[in-house]
Amino acid sequence: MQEECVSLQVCVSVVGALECVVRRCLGPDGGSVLFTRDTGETLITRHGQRLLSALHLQHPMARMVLDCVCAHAKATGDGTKSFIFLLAAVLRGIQDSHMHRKGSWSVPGLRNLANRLMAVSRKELEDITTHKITPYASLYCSLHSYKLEGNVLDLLIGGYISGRVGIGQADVLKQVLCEFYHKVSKDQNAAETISFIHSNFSFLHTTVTGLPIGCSEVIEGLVVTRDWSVWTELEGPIKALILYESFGAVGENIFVCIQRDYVLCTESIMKQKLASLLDLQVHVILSSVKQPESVLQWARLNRISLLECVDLPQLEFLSNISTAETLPHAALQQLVMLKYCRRMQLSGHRYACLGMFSHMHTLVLCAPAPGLLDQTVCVSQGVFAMLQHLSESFCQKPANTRSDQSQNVLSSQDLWGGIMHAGGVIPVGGTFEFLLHHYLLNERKSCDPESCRLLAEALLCLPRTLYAHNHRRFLNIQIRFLNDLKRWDKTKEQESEMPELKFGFGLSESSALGLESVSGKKQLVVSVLQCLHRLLCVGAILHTRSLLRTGLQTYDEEDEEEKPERSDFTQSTDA
Amino acid sequence: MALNADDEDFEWEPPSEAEMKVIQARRERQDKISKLMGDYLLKGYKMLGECCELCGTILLQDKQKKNYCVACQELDSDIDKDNPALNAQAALSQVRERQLAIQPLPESNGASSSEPPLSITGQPRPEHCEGAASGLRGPPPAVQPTPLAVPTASSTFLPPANPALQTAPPVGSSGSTLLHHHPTLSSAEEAVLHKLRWATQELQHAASVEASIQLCSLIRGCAESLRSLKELQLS
Repeated sequence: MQEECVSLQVCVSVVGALECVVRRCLGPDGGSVLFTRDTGETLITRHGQRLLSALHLQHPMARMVLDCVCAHAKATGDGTKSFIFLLAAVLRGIQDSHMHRKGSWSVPGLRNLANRLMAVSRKELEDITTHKITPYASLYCSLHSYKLEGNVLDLLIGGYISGRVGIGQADVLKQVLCEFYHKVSKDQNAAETISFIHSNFSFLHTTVTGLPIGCSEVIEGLVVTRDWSVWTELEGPIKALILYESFGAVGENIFVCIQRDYVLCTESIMKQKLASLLDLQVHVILSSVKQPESVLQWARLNRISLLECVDLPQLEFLSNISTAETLPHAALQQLVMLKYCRRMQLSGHRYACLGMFSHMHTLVLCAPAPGLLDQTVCVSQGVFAMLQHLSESFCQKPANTRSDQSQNVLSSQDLWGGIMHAGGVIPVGGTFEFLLHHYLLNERKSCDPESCRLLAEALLCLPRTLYAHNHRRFLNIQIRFLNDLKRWDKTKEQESEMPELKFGFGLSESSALGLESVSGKKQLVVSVLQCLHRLLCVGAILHTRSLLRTGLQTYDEEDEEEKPERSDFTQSTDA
Repeated sequence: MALNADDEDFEWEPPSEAEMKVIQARRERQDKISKLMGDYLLKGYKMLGECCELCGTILLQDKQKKNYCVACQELDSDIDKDNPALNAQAALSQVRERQLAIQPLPESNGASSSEPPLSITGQPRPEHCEGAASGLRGPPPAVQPTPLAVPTASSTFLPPANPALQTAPPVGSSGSTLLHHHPTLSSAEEAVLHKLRWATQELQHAASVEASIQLCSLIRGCAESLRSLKELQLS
């Protein structure tokens, strides 16, 4: 009997401790955590994943939960703190519900429950989202379309950011990100743009420490965080050479005096190479390595700009988007056409700015401290991950569930309008949780009411925490929402005129309206239930003394050497 | 346990009054533990993969590689609200250390004390007596992995109505049942008096403030031990 209680109890303790760590940072009113190191470095963050990764967690369950959280964040860019909250609430619900049983939860009983909850996530959740929540969302948006039309993307970004950075920063960041998106998407359709930004975000942004966040801006062209080694003002479209090797690489450090004129020989080889560059009418050289001094001299004499030590991935990115052509006789050299080259200054540093013929822009993110900068970058990256997830899940929906007007959305620019009309977005602030809670409790066709009830009760933890500073307000909001829903259900049955759905606006008089993605929230619930399944199916925790290496044969060797007090460190799962 | 049969027959009813209380109390305790653990995690403590042997809470390890159980150390000893809990705790740890370092090993009677020294008068013993009484029980067995606070603590039996006040019988078997062995009581008394005298002498020669404070707390501890012994003798 000892083991079965321990498993659930340990889960609750671990996840409870993690919840208390992130509790203070949830929502628009949440605070930040300040981490310091003995070396004096500080990190101020309220980003859930950063917070949890900075803790020292040796407990295997804690590490497993952290892995799940990171995987979820990578997929959707959203909801790491909410993940932990929801997980903790469900675990507590399971623990409390054992009071009503004849005995405590046994390990097979827990596994059974975990499987049932997974089944709920696959069936009931899917049903409710498709048949209840999506219609509600689309009705809501159509009723308030006068406020939302054309602004969906802004509101999505605003809704995401406002929960993650302070209010003063949120406005500025939202503006900058929207501007960035609109500039990059000039000649591409929305889905492609988002996909492009999301996958190349590391090349498309530059960070600057020491300036206020309000100095963040969008700059045309690609910013390279290096200064020109040799700089000449040049106009108009320029041919540029991308170099992946050093010109003087041939025998520079080796002096073997076989021939008397060996040194002269290498010099003449270099001169030939450089002369051939002049023939190609190259005016800019972008090199991934440091070039010898003679090359710099030559560049100065011939009025050629030279940029050295550029990051290799960035050069590759540049050659990809500019369709570089490789030179026939030199594999490590490529030619591109650039629109212009500039030298610019950002917060006391000189950088190079390369203009492209495609609508390439760079997002320059500023922050006074490195920790805040890191947070700003994470949030910006998360915005585009969230948008990518939303557009992907919308485009993947089977065609018959989308309305006719959204059929040709993919080709047109108005992806976001299409998503809004199809019910893909919902107001922030707990709407999704309230809806899901209500429908899970009232689901008459469900074959597993206990699991639905467990999940429904746990879902309310999120809005309750969001409005934690004013519990009465939370109850008011809940009552108002339920009244709204009842009226809606009634008029749906009677098919009379639709009521005005006030919820979502009533509570946000003081704060700006924001939207969030339905598919993202659904994915959160699914991910939480998957993580829960992994936790509850842990049969035993075995400890080893030394680190596990990959490969079973080495594991056996370690086994013979050590004499553990308890047994080894794996998790036996039994699905 | 029959799984499916149970589920089919099972109909959820709202919990009864008593059950609610139990759930409430347990949840409060769990919340307190989680909050403390969360705070320590943010301070840089490491969450280990082991559980405390006494109460089952997950162990934390500080930067000096010392293991720490939040429930045993803080929660169950946090009774006296007038004194700052940490100060009382630290003072007691010092007293205990001193007693353990100075006292010879008491004769062990083989049997662990079957009754915790809790129910002498039927009321729970407050912490400051508890520390001294635990000093009387003698040093914990040498194999203890967790720190010195182990003898005082814990919540192996934890009726939810009284979560913070009970103690487990000492882990080692070197404690003695105090009620029936008067020679033991008197020898314990002698030893404490001897230490009291020694501490008084040391106090007169103490040069630094720190040493004086420690000696005073030792004297206080001895006095409390004597009072507890007198109570035991009388009952």
